[in-house]
Amino acid sequence: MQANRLRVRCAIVLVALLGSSCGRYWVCDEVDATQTAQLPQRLSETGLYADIATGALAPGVWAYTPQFELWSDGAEKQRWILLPNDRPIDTSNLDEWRFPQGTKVWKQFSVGGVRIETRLLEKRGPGDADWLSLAYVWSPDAKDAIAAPLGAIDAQHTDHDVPAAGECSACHAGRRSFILGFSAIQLAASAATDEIDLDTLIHRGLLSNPPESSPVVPGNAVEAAALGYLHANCSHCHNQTRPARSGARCFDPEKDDDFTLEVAQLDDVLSTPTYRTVVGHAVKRGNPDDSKLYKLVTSRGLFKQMPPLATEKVDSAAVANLRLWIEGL
Amino acid sequence: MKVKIAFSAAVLSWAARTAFAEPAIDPALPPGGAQIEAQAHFGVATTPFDVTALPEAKGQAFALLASGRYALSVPLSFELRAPLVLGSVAQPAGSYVDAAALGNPQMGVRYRFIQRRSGEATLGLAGAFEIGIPLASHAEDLMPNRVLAIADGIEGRAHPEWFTPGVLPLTPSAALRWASAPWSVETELRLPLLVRISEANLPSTSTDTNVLGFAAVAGAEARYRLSRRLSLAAGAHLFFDIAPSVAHVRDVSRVQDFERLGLHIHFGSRAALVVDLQTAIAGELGGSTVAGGLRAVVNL
Repeated sequence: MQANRLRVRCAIVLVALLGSSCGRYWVCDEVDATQTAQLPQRLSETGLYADIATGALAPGVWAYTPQFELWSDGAEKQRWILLPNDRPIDTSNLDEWRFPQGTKVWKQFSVGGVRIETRLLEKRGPGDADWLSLAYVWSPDAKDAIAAPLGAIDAQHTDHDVPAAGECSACHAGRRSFILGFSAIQLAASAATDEIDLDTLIHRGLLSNPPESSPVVPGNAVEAAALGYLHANCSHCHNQTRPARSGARCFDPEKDDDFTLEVAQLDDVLSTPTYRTVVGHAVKRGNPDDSKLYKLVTSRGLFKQMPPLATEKVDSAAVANLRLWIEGL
Repeated sequence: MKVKIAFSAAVLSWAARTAFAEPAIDPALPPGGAQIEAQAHFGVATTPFDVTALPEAKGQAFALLASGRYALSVPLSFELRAPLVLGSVAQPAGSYVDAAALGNPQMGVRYRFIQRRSGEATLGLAGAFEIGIPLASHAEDLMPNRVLAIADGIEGRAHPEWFTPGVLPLTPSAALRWASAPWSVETELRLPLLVRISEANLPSTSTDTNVLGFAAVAGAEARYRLSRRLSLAAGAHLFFDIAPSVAHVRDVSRVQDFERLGLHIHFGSRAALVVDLQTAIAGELGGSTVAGGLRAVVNL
């Protein structure tokens, strides 16, 4: 009898282990609804616009464009940041900027010229993880956008999916800075006149420890574009300095691949983490078709695509460049 | 992973062998007899979900069902069922969140109208009526609603009365069973009626709930006894969405097929373990839904 009970218990535990095995990296914690409820329910109330009808930005809001963009299935994107009272960013670590409490960052997605959604990240506390995130879906008349904490599938009859509030952390929480496209490397290129870039930030005294010079991504055009693409699309998960997580393993790679571009490691391509950790492993020199990285970025489908989130279409221009890069290695 | 699955399947089978004494499944219980059943289906499904911003529910889930049946007399028995779902729900951008939900427990009676024997063949006709206790989980984040919808897909949409939150389900059914060793065939028609009692947290701005939902589910299964221990079963059902309990937010096929293959392992005359695999060929679930699992039945 005792032995029978033990066997039944063993079976139950085994089934439980199979069901919740530690390999389920795609399962994230659900965001606490009381947190998203703290954010305004309308985009017009978030502080982005002085007048949402005309699109006039509120005072202190800056537009910016990272030099290497995250692929979003071809959606057109615009980005803005508000640093509260022009308080400087703590840039003592040039690769992991720490933003002042009250910082707000917005990103707007349009498809075919139609505004679909605008995402907000707002730093509500002093800690690195004290960010709240929420997407706002534009109304069909484009007069305002309404909070969508559950996200939306095929929003506004396009194939664009709006992430649930909890999904933002899947990528953003992979870096201590939380903000992925506003960094020394991403802002190093000269911006348009109405946008902010690294030089402007330095000039306006908005960086606590400005770099001595603007970082330049090494390599020829193909190499720099490949390193930039991997930095923008892969490094928020695949890096060696991820903040520790106490919850489920959520898009937290266990392998040693590192696709980051770091300010102190830009002397030549060989000193970049991508060349040190990926080339020769997930990237086979001269052989894109035998390279795991190339196969994943050219695939779409459950558990066999990279990036794993927020994309259903292959970035053909980036793939063409990655192919050239691998063939030339 | 394959090794883990094989190992745990072996342990499960070993545990089942030793946990249950030897017996089989006789659909006709003697007065005072009881039957208990535990079913676990694991599968992946993409099913319609009637919220404008989230027109589908996608994910993987364990659909668990505990059932009991007690024979009050030769023709009349009392039944109880309690569904539970554990799963992972896909979010719009592609990550998943774990969720658990209670289904609507059901209680009802089954009455055997006809039980005829002609030589080796038997023919039985039974009618049943179940009423659901409206306990199915729902929440503002729609996570339990969605995991229930996924479980509904895993079961081929055959049991909306188990998996629809915010309704009082009333389900009449009739089953006809013919058996002549080594064959048996069972057909069933169920007509779940769902009476709306709450909005189940569905957002009123984007979802229209209906006061009544009504569906018809017609199924058939044939079994062939291979040996004293083993039977093979093949079955299918068709689900007809006559009047949806929630207005669809996009075009949804009103008819759903679902096919099932099973291997029955008999342990004497009082217990059986069923291993089955089920999927849809067409309809909303075709190409996106597949499930498999275990069912254990014991006559007490």
